[in-house]
Amino acid sequence: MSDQRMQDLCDVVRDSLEKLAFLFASADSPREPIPFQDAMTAIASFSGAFSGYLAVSITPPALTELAANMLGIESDEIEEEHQQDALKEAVNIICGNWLPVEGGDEAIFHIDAPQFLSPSEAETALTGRKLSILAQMTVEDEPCDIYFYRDDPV
Amino acid sequence: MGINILVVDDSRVMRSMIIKTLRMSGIAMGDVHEASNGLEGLEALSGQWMDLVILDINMPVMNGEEMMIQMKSNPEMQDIPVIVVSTEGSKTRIDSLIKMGARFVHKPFTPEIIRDVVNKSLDIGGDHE
Repeated sequence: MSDQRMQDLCDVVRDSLEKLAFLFASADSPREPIPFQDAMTAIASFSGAFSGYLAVSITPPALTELAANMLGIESDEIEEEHQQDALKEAVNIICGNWLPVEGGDEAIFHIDAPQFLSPSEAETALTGRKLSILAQMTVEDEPCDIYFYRDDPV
Repeated sequence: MGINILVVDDSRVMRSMIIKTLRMSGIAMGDVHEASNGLEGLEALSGQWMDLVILDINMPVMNGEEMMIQMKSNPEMQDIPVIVVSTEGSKTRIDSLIKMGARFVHKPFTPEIIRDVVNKSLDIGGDHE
């Protein structure tokens, strides 16, 4: 994977989270991915000019803040359902903003409804094949991993 | 008197965000109605008067493009301003929605962007674009 594409993906994530939820995100130094059992993960599959998926794995404290800011309610009122819905919407937006960068703004894609993954489902879906990009970021001082795969490698 | 708004999006979080953003933007709001797909949106429009529709594109059952086509073919709905709020990145698809008369707001958005587009759609604030 090229550094420029990873940087471009980080830029999309940073811009999306800032506008969506006033959260500060930045690219991280290389590190081990967050264990799926310690994170909450959602995935959006897409088809069109090429097919693939984008998934975001984020720790519960950062996700609570994301959900609270998106919904405009206090962190202590956030329930797991809010977290899951907020993460699915964030994944949808990040994927929707990333695909024109990756495929060009004339390319047409269909993004499936994002799905929330259990740790074992995330393990199955996101490991075992060569990713196009693994972007590692920090969101409000918490780690966040973004997995991108396309079936038609650049 | 505030404006009646219909928000059509399959994501409950996004509907809440749009409504929160509208309230933050200082727009005088009347009744706010919600629908989770185009078919529910058309049902809401046939039951009560709306001043504005805020519409997602990718939704199950009936997508936003299809809902707009149905609205444009119905004399009672064809003049209601529509703002499409979507992650859609294809210029071709966005252009086709704009040709049908919609304004387009890209997700994610800020309250200022929503306020400006709502004002333009309702011809508020002297902007006769």
